[in-house]
Amino acid sequence: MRRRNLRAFAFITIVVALSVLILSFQKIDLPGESFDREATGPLGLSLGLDLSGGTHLVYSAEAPVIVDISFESITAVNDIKLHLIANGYLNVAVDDYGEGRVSIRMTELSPQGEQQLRSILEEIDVIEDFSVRRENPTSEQMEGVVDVIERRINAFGVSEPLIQTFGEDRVLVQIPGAENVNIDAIFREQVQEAAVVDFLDQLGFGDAEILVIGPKALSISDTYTIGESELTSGKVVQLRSHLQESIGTVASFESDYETGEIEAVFEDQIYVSDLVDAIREFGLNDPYVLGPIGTEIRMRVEPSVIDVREALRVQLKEAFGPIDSYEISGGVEEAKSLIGQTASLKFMERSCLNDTCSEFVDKDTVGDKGEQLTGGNLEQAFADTHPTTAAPIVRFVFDGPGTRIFRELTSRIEGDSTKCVATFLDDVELICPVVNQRIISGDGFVEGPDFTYDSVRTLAIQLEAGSLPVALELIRESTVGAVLGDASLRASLRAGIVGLILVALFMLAYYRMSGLVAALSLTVYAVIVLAAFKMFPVTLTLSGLAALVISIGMAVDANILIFERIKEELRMGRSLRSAIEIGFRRAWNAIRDSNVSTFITCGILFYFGRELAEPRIIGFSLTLFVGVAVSMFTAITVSKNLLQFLAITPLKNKPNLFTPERLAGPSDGVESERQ
Amino acid sequence: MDIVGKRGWYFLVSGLVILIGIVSLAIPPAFNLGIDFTSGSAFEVNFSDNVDEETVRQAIAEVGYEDAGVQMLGVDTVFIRTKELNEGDLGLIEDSLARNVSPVQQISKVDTVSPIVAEETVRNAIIAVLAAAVGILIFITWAFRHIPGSFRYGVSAVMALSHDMLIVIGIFSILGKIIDVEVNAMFVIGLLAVAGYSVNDSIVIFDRIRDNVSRDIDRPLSESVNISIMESMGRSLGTSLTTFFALLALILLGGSTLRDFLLVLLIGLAVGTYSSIFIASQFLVMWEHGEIGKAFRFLRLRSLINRGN
Repeated sequence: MRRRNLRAFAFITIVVALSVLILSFQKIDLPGESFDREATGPLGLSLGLDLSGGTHLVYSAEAPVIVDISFESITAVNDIKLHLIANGYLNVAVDDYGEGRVSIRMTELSPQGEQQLRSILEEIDVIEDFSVRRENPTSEQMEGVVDVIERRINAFGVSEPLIQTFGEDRVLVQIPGAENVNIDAIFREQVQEAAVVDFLDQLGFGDAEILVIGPKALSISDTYTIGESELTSGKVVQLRSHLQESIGTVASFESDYETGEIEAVFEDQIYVSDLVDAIREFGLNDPYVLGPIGTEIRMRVEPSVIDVREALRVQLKEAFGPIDSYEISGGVEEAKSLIGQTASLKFMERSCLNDTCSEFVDKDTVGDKGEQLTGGNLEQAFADTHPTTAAPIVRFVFDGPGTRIFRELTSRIEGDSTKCVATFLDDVELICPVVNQRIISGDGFVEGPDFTYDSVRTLAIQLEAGSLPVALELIRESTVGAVLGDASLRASLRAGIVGLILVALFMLAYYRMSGLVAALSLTVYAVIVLAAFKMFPVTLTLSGLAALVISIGMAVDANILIFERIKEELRMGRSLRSAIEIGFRRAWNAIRDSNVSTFITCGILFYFGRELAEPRIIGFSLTLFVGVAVSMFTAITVSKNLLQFLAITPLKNKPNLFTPERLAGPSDGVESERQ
Repeated sequence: MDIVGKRGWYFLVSGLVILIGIVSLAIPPAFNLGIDFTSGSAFEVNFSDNVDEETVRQAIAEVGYEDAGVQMLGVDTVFIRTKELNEGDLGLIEDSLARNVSPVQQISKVDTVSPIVAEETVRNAIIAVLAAAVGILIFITWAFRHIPGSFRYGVSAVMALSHDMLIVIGIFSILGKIIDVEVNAMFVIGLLAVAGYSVNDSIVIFDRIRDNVSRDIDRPLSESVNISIMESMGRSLGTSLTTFFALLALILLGGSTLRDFLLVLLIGLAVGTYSSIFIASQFLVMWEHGEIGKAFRFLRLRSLINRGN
């Protein structure tokens, strides 16, 4: 008995110590495995939008552009379409109104673009009339936008976002977690860590953490190596003059045709990024540029809005010189890019292999019956790596019709080395593989030059959740307070503490020593529950709070059930020790069955919450499950062992201390009724 | 104390409350739907000083928008969501804000926002609770398999669950009509919590009945039930009073935004405790006595009351 209690106490002490340890660190990052828990809430708990606020984002839908044209003579719609596709206008729809009048619908068109489009169309026929108008998104489209965003955010795992249409053409999105953002800045020159820390401190980013420094500068020389696989002397000369024009005076330009590399030195300091852009502009495929790299610094700053971050960039530039790259990540950045991108995927048949060519078979006739093949035909999409190159890719599985269309397309061009399947994401061509063998399984993948391991994850979610019916632009970003009001919640927290103290006082006054046991047991319960929430991790929202209140009630109930049974046993004249033993055993059936029924309820609610995509129901069931499980654990271990322990101390001779009522007579030692 | 003997009365009282609730639900609008379920208006207000959201909330409540959503955007700007505003309403709000909070620098254009919670959510919650009820029915039937008529225990617990849901829903429909209490997303969550509590509490009482029935198998069920209720009265009062007072403290001392939600829990708790003793357990006895069939046949509770007395 004694030994068993000791072991139990050792176990409880370890669990409580571990829980306290878990709660005392704001951030837990275990080395090796990718396990890290970090949140800005008290005790490092993550709190939902309703309890602690987050980020307030307003997106504006970009109205699709409609160009009304009147040609001099009647032109076939199909010709117009193919001509437009050949000129890079991929996402267009052309409607024929007869007598040469057509309407072209596209997602966006800049004022300069209007002129360009006009001249391209004039190659077909003389234009009599050309006008551009924008069509506001319909309310159905806006509802579609809200649906898609909701699906994306749910798939991303953000709990209980708030998404509303806002006015006629905007969407309001609030997502929890205004966690610290990472700013990765690559300075052109070497920068001292201490200097950046001091500077951030001066600007009022006192809490900023500098996480990564490096890589250190490789060399201070201004020699850049430009790699290009097909180097010819003519190209080298052209490239030199192109760079002279767009970047600055070239001091030396030496090429090595064997390695396919050029060593370039410029008279002035230049940005690596500018050089890359200029080379791309020149039309080389896959150029790579090696050059002196400054210092890369990762700054971790308080949640801040876009304006503040842009201001910081300017200030950093003034203080430390040019910044080659300034990237924001972490916090809600990923969620933001997840929301905004249209993510429309499209497959087309291209009848030439040259990278700059654009002879497409009519985009509407990918399938044998003229069906289109788009992201809407996907059943699943997930991030993966390329089997041979290990590059990040998005793998996908087509749905039934998609599989059929893809099979028809690949059968048609099977073994034809002059045709390939062009794959577009938001109208940018990613890849165009030739088809060696028809694909009947209905799965494939896309890869792209800009893909990173993070971006394919986002993209997979976007593709699976569907593309946005209209393009979105982020027009307002701000941190936002709790939906339930920070001040109001603080008041409620204080009131909750008062309430718990009242409960503890009542238990102490009524059940005396047992009440003390209950108070201790409930404290242990609270510590373990919070630690469990942190480790799971559970994002605490109002639904979670509701579950917590109920599970506290059940934890109190478990203790009261035990005490009432003990009271009865004492009344029957048992010794304290056997009263505790039997009382607990009797109460246990009720505790077990009622809690198991709650587990079943949680399981069913969780299942339906998932199926019906109701984050509130999921949050409620998850929290209730954790709460009741811990309450059962503390009832078995803490309450029982504490009581058993007290029963072997001198207190055992004072059973009156364990029950609210005066016992009739001397009761110790009467154990005849043992069952 | 003879609790079982007066069982007709409990069903009469509960039946009346549920009936009034159903009548209220039948008169449209069934609920006074809050801004979570209806489309409303939203705008930003920029003040010339730093403000705190509770003061803003009070100022808006003063002109009749108690349930407005108020969130801080930074330190001097608030984002406000209200029920749909008509011409001139904004002026009232602006006046009150300027008077009670701080001079108003700028108010953005007022725009319509769509409901936050789709009506689907309510339907989905109902589906989930119904499915959970089936699960509970099966579990209780299994857990009580060693005593006669275990299926009845499952049915009675689910009866009590439906009773609690109906009463809470009915009360909020009535409160919405007489004192404008609104129903929001929190209400749905509160209902889930009430459902969880209701079943838990019924099982605790049933456990006691199971104990007493298996101890003396020849004792009439009505007697066993009565003994069980009396024996577990201490626990019922202990648990419900502690939780009740903790919730009451939260309602009286806590912030305004959680009040409606806590009210659901408080009412649910009271009804849940009541129904375990006065509905779930009594239903068992009525079933045993074959009174349920009669109740359906005559649809007159009076005969039951006479019999009970």
